[in-house]
Amino acid sequence: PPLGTRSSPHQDLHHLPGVYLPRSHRTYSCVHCRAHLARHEELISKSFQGSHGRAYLFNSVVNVGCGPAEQRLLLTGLHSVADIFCQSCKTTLGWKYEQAFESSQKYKEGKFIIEMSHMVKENGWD
Amino acid sequence: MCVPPGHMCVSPVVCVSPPVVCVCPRSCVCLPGRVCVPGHVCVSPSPSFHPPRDNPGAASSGQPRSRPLSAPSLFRTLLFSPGFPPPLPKPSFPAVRPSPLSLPSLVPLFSAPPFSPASPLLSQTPHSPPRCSSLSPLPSLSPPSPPSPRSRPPPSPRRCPISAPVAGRCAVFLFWVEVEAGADAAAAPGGGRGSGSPDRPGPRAPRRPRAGPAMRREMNGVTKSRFEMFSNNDEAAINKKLPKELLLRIFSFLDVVTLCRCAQVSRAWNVLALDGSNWQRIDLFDFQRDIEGRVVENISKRCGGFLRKLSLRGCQGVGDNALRTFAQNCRNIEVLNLNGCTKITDATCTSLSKFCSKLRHLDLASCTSITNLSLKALSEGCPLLEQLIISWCDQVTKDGIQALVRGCGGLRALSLKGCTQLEDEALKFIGAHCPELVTLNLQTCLQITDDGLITICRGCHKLQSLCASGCSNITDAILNALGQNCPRLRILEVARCSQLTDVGFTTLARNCHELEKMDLEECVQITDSTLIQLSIHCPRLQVLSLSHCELITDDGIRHLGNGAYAHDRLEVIELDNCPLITDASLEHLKSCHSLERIELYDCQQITRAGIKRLRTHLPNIKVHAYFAPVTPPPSVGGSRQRFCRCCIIL
Repeated sequence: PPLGTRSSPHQDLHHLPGVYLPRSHRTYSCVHCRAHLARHEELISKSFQGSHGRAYLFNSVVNVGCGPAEQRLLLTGLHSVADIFCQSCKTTLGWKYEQAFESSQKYKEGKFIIEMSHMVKENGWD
Repeated sequence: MCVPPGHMCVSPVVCVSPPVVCVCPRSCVCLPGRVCVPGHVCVSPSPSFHPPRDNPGAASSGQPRSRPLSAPSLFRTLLFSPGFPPPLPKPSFPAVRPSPLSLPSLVPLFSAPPFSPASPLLSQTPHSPPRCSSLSPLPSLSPPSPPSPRSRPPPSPRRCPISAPVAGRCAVFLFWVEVEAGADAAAAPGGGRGSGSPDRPGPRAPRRPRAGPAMRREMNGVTKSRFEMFSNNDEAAINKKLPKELLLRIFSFLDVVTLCRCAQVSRAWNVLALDGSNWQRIDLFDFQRDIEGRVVENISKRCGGFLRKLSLRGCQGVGDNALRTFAQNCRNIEVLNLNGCTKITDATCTSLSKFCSKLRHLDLASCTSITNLSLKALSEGCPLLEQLIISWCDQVTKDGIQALVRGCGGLRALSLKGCTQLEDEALKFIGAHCPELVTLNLQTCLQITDDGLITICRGCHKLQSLCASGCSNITDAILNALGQNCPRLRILEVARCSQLTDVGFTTLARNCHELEKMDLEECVQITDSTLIQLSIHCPRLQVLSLSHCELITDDGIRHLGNGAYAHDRLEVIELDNCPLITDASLEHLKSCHSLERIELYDCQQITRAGIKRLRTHLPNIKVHAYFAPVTPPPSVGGSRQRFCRCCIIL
């Protein structure tokens, strides 16, 4: 499985080399440094809202580090989220749902939000 | 693990009594289970020559590599250990590629395997410069008279005793190498290396004691058939049965890691594995984190003019200096991948321009220090350039493009993804000077408009693949231009180009019958009409993304699915975020036997049942959909006290 993030804060993930996803299909990369972030197969939904516009929900991501968890009141209710950042350029990309306090939102736990403004889609067709 | 000196390998295959002592080339690491050729004398160098051993990562081919393989230590030691033969002299080879099957190419490009200084009979490795061996015919080999062991100087006492017959074979092997070195006297450096000259100069490197002059004198002029050398009775069966040409042929398919391992199996294999013909293409992507400049320099010296393809993708440690050395040594390089080599600057392209005029494919993606100067240099020095990728080199402007296309008129593929400073002017240069252009990628070049792209279409009639995703200024005019000028268009990516409408796509479909892959994500204005036109006019449509095309309905999918060609051709269809799509669409697609994948997430009207029905018709289909778990209903009656999670946590 692709490298996910750990939920404990201050985890030192810097020693891990950059993960490259297989080129066969569409990948989403960090627009700032082109580190691979997620495979298209891990995409769950495109209809999320981040703080700067649309955001995608992914089942798992790679090359991403996790900050400490904190509670935030989102549109969908109270959640415990941890900001995630690109490991190679340290840009904050979105967040990870650590915990959802409403049962209808439980399915998001452990999944990742990445804002579209930080991503570039690569079809891999050429 | 380091092999202790005097280590005795007992090979299960060729074990003879007394147990033989193995010889490994000094930089090798004994691999468990490796077959030792009897008489192979194992002398391990001192531990300081062994780099620290990496963790043997679980590396199986085909998976995304998340860590370097354990082979880096092998690889490093083999090629980079300080004890390795001194760098080859300035190559004076003609630029002709040797054919792997030609006998003369068996002559090792690299020097003979480095022999341990401890063994007295192992002479200094000859300086074999990179040469196109196919040009120099083999010297006529008359049946040899075997060297009499007694004329050799007695082996000086060293760490491991060598039996006389063993020494004889070693000597013979070395002799063979010496003869070959002498045969190419013209290219042989250092002077005095011509065959037949009895007086050879002293050792070139103090570390390698030369064989005694007596032996050498005897060897000179005495030829021995190469085949006889390899068909010793004691040689492994594989070397007896399999002609060297076939062995070389097999080696030519191997990757770097396996080649290095083969080079450690035996002396015979060392020679063959290190033959230049096997090192024409090297991919260092798997070692990326280990690659420093020195590695690239060593490789370039080893492979010299044989190297044609090199991938340094992701090797962030490689800089301009190493690549300059590389360019000077490997002048026949044709395909060079420097994707992600973030340290390199214009100096690298200047070096390439100066030395590597045969460059055809160059990938500089994410080399963000590259500026217009690089493009100017490449246009001057690399006129054969066909494919250039400068994605994300956002310092590039139209001046660089202008210079590039003027020098490299044969460009076929150009990737300018993320070169955000480019505008229509730059595209006009491309359209004017690149008639052979087949692939063009302008993803996220936000400034470009219809004008620039239209000039490209008018100038590049051979265009087959165009990506303008993210270029939100473009309108139907560009689709018209494509329809009128680029009939061979196969791939079109116009994601997020929300100004495109049915009108443009109708013109496009009616003229471009070869369309195979289309990404129309967020082309929000298109309706079923476009799908109807595609289903009529584009029989080769394989991949179609309609993500966020909000106006698409089941009817459009019906036309698409009923198209005569869709049954055999359509492989991927993306209907995510199309709110009007229902299970009916799935019904319409059930006879598309080639359909491999369908995207249905965020489609509120699609149900599990509909997908299940689809699977009965298309059992192998991958359905990309997600149904959030249903909220469990509140319990009825018998209300137990239930704590909400907040309370529990708090």
